Amino acid sequence: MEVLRGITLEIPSGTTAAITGPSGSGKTTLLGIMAGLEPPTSGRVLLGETDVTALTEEERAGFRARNVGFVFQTFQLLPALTAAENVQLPLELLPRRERPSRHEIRDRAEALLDRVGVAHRLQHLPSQLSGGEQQRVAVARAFVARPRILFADEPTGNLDAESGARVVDGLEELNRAEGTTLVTVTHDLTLAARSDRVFRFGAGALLPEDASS
Amino acid sequence: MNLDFVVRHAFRESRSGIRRVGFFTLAVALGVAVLVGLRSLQVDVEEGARAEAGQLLGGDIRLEANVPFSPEVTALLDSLEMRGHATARVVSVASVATVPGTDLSRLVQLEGVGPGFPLRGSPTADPAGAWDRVLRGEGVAIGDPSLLGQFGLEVGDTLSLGGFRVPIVGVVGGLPVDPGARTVVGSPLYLSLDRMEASGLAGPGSVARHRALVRTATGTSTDALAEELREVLPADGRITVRTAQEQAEGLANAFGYLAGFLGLVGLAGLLLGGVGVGSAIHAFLKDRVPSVAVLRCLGVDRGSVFGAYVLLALLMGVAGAALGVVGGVALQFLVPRMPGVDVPFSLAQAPRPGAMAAGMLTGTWVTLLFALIPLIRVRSIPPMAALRPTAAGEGATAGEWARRGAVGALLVLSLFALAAIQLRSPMAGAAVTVALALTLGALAGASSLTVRLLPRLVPAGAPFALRHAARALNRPGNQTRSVLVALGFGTFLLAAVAMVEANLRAGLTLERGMGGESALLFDIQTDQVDAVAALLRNEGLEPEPVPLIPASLREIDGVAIADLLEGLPPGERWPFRRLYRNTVRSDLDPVSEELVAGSWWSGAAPAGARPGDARISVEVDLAEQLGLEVGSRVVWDVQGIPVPSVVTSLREVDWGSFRPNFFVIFEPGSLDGAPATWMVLAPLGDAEARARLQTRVATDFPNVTFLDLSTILDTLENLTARVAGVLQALSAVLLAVGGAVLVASLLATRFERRREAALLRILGSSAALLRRRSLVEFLVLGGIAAGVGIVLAVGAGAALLHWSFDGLRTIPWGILVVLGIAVPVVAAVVGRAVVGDSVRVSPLELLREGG
Repeated sequence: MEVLRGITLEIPSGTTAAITGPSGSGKTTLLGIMAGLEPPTSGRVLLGETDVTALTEEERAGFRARNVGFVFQTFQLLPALTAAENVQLPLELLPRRERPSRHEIRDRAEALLDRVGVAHRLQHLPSQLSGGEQQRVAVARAFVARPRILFADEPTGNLDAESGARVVDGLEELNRAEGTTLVTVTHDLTLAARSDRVFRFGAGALLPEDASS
Repeated sequence: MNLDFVVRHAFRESRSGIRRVGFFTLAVALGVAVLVGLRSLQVDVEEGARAEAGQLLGGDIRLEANVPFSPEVTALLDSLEMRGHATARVVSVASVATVPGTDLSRLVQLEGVGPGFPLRGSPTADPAGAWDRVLRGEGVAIGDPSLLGQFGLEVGDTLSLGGFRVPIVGVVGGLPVDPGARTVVGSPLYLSLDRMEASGLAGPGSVARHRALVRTATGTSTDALAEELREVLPADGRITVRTAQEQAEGLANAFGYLAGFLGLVGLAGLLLGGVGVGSAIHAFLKDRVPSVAVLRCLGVDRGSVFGAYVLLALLMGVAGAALGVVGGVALQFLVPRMPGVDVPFSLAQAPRPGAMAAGMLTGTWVTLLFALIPLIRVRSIPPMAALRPTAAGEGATAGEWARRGAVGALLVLSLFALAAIQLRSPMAGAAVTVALALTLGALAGASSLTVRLLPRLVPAGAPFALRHAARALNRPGNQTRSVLVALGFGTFLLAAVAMVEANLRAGLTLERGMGGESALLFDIQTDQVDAVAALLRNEGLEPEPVPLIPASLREIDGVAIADLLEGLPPGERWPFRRLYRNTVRSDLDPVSEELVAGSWWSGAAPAGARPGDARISVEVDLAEQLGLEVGSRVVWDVQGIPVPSVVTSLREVDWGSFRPNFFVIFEPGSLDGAPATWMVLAPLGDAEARARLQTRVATDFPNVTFLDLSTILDTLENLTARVAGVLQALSAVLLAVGGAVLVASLLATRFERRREAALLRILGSSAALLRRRSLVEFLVLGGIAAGVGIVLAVGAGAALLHWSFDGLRTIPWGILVVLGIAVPVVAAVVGRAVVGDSVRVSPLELLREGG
């Protein structure tokens, strides 16, 4: 089945972009392909200088570890790890020669958790955190390896308005500070409007770009 | 309660995630299979024994004594013949048989059979007619097939028995052979009673059993005749009367006890399966809280919701138990056909509805109880939890705890009842319940502690795979503790059996060093003592012949034994009416005896002693059974002559030592002139020297029995190995139950594992790292189970050996290390096989999960 067709889009480094569209329009598939989670049947994806579609599965995994961050709608924290350990995870997955020291890993994780406002929850398990707190931990995890590009899939989809706002504030603040390229998939048009560019999606194809962006 | 809803909802849930829980019932099924298989076999044995009761005994009634029948008894038997009953005589004695021209010698059970034997059953012989040649008294013998195998003989070969040789003219079948006796004493060799009596092997003083078999005349009640015989036979109790039915009941009972004991393993397996089911339902319900809350919002009452899940658990119990029943029936038919299984009669094999129904009920009931403990929570989930998840509460309420406590108490009571039924003893049932509870509790406690502490103990600098494997043990819904308890229990039993077996073997090895490599010569007549001693001196030994004076009790402290027997329960009568083989000795044995009361021959005569009383020393346990103390007077019957004596000391005796030990020792000089046979120990460490001596003894003193004690040690080692083998096989079943719980828990966490793997892939983990993490997790899981099981087994084994045996002699490190490696490796292999595909998950699955 053809899910996506004829899509060409370019997101300049350091900018933010939102992808919107109805359910089943292929947003998640596009996100997966852009992030190098799955290869497209045809076409290319360039992240910076790297053609991720030319990489093997294992090479893509290594590339993601160094360059890509994720924030999920359902938080996706590992339930047996504490908040601090969840944030440390991406750094621990880096190849040994690129991996910071244990101290630095711990310090960076704690600093990020402090910046997103959950420093008081370092040793708590995900099941002991509220939804908003879990998502803020997930945001800290997404930035800890200083990725060049960050993909957020409905980051506020499972949160109430107040928690959602705090998550978005944290996400934008870290994004600005780190100069990361941010791609957000969302139904929330208000959230989408806060991005530099908005791509509207329908039936597996891009619709003409929104005039307001 | 809305019954329609209960049934519908249970059915709907059975299609969904509960199937993951359902796999745990496989563990329950294994336990039920062992219970049903053993119980069915027990019924097979009972019916088989009853059907062949007459053949088992060789007649309808058996009279048995360890002395030759007196003329009065012989006359009684003759009178039975005149009343139309048939009789036949058999004399059995253990003797060493050798193959002429070789050093090959073994203990065999000689059966001297008189005309007409057996009175029930039809032995078959190969070649046909061989059995008749034996009965006709041709001086030939016919052997059990196993005997010919042991000696490597063929029909036509000759065996030497003491001073005479017998040609083996055939092999016999269709005669019952007690497998236990065959293992300990030797395989049977049949020859005519005349030939046996002529050989002198069963003469006065020998350890022979004399039997008379009776086939009752048509129309006569066997029980009535047996009762009549009991009344007319001498009341000294030396002749036992047993009917075929009593013999069959005895056999069935003995097997029943064995099956009950082995069935405990099935019970333990059932419990482990139950623990797995309970834990899985606990995890399942955590996911079901929102659904239950929604149902409550929609107006379903709490009883109906609870009822639906209870029905579901009940159905799972029924499914597991039914599977177990099928497995049990398969076991019932397979076990008797396994190599090495020796049944002395044909089993009446048929499916046993009683055993199957008991298995169904037990399996279902235990599963239901274990499931109920977590299911009680369902009643407390409020509708509000649909809107606010925290409304379901984290911990259990006081009411929930009370209900869980009640179910727990019911579970303990059920376990007690099942164990008591298995072992036919409430006390034994209580002991097993406590022991199982302590073991499972210790395993659960030690496992919980290890799992909790492990993540803290693994250093921060440890490899990623190890740190995350340690963390993953605490993965929600992982049921780590159930898996650890189940795997740990199997390991515990295997290690404990290995501990006890190694120590028993070490004890036997020690015995070899302390005199086990000796020969014992007994049945030596008084006029042969000097010549036998001279023979031993030629071998460089310093023989110390010991006299054996057969005697029975006549009076204790002035009361006749017949009077003392009145009012005593049957189980306590034997010490009063048995035949003792006493001795005369001047000194205590420094190796095996210790005086615990009174004084040896040097002290003054105790109060109550009369002039002419012989002084005696009595073994302390026997003294307790007979109610003797220092100063008690005992009158003995030595070949019809009363010999008065007084107890001057009590001794503790180490019966395990290879020394000539006795219950009663007389002062030197007190039994001069009494008819005696003699025995002498020949401590010859060299097997060749023992064989040489055996040949000389067989030639020069054919009536003397030569017993190579090392062959007894071989037999004991063989027995130890066989018993340990059976226990290890059953322990392995429990390890399989542990494996089933592991597989079930892996299937239950499959989704969670795929999710984790997908997330780690998204975050950049390589497939190799995921595989390593998974492998280390299973190795750690198996390692903890093995470690905890082995440590507990060493502790429990050491305690058991300390209290019940001679203490801890050795720890079988080799076996423990093998177990310690094998269990984690098996866990890793099983883990890889069941959830190894998790690492191949597409990362995109995780994104889609969010919708």
